Amino acid sequence: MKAVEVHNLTKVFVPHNSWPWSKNFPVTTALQDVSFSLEQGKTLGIMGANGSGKSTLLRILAGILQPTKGTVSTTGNVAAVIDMSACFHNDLTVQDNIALYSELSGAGKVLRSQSADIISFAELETYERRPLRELSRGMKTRLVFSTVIRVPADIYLFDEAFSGGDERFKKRAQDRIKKLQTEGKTLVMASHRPVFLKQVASLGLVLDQGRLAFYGPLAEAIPPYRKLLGI
Amino acid sequence: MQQHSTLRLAARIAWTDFSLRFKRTKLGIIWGVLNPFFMFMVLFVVLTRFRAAHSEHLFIPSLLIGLLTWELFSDATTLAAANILQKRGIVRAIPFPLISLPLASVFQTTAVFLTSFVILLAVLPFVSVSFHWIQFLFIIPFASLLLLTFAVACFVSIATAFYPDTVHIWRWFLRVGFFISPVFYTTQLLLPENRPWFMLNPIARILETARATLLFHQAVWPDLTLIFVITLAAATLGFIAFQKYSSAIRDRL
Repeated sequence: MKAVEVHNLTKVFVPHNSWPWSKNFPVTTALQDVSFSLEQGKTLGIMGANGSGKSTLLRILAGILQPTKGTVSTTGNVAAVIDMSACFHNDLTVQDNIALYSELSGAGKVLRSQSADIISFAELETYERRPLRELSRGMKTRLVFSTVIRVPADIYLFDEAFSGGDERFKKRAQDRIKKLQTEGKTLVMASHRPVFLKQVASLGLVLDQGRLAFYGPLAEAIPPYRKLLGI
Repeated sequence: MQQHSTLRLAARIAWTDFSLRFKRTKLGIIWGVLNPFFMFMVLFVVLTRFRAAHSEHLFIPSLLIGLLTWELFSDATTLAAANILQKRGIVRAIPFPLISLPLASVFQTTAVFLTSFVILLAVLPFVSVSFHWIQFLFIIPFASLLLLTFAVACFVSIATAFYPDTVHIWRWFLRVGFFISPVFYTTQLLLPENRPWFMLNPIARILETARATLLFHQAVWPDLTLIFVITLAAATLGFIAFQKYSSAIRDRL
C-alpha cells in the first residue's frame, strides 16, 4: 500500500512583496516535476544542497503548502518537524511548550496525557517548569523530537531533526526511530548527513535545484548527492 | 491530517500570547487585570471630576462604553494584523487551521474587555443607572461587536499576509474610524440629515444599541436584529474569505 504518492509536483513561489498590478515579477521555482511514491512502512532519506527544495517538499507532504501543479497524496495522519524552533517559544516553560504544541499539532488529548513521558524521554525532568531559554540547543532538540514522536501518526516527517543533539541522544533517537519502523510507520527524513541517513533509511531521494536527480536505494543515492556537492 | 479543535487552539494561542506579555514581570498576569482596572478608574475619575456642566445625561457611562467597545475592535484587528506576520514561523512549520490566528486575537482582547466591563457594571449604580432586565439584551450588541471584529480581523489578516504595509495603513484607518464612529459622542449630537450616513457604520449601530440597552433600558428590536444579522453575515464572509486564501497566505508567509 502506498503511503505517499507524488506526481509531477511543481511548486512556484511568488515574491512576498509583489504588487497586485505587477505582472512581471520573478517567481521562484522550488520544485519542478517531482514524482515518486513510497510504500507504507518504508523510510526515505531526502538529500540535496541548501535551497534544493527539501523543506518545501516536506512542507507539501505535511499539508502546510499546496502544490502549484501536480498531485500529492498521503495515507493516514502526518506528524512533522519542519522548523524545530518555530513551534517552541523561548519564554514558555517546557510544560507550556508541550501544551501549546499539543494544540497546534491537533493531538491535544494524547500529548497532554503523555507529558511526563515526553519530559522523561528528553531527560528534562529538572527543567519541567523552567523557560526554554534556559535550555541548551541540544536540550531543545531533545524536547522537540520527544514531543513530535508522541503525536499519533502514520507518516512522520523530519527536517534535520537531530542537529544539535549529543551522541547519546542520537543513539536513543535512532532506537526510537527503529521502534516506529517496526510499528510499520512511514518515515521521511531530510538531512545533509548521508552517514546518518544510511543508518535509518532504506530509500534515498536526491534533489537538485528543485528537480529530482535520483530516487532509489539509499546506498545508490549517496554518490550522486556527493557529486552534486562536488565532494 | 490531525483533527484540530479550532476554538481550543485559538484559546490556547490567545492565552499563550496574553501570558507572554507579562512573562518577565513580578506580578505576571495580574497586570492583565490591573491594566484595564487602572485605565478605567483614571478615565472615570477624570471624567467625573472635569465633565462640563452642560454635558448630556449619562455622558460618562456613554463615553466609557464607547471607549471600551472601540478598544476591543481596534486592539483585536491590530493584533490580528501583527499576528499573521509574527507567527509566520509556526505557520510555515506545522499544519494547523490558520483561522485560529484572527480568532485568537479576538479572544485575547475580549478577555481584557470583559475585565473592564465588569468594572463598568459595578460603577453603573453610582452614576444613576439602575438595574433592569433589558440590560441583559446587551449580549446582542456585544455578540455583534465580536462578529464584526472577527470579520474585520480576517480581512485585515489576509491583506497583511499579501501586503505587510497593511499593518501601518490599518492604524490610519482606525484613527479615522475613531472619529467617524460615535465613540466620544452620541449620534443625537449629529445633524439629523447626517445621522443616516453615520448609521451606515456598523460600529455606530453597535454602540447605539449597547448604550440603549445598558444605560437607557431600551430594546429597539429592529436595530438589534439588523445589527446582529449584518455582523453575522460579515463574519461568515470573513471566515469564507480567510479559508479561501489560507493556502495562499501560507505561500506568502
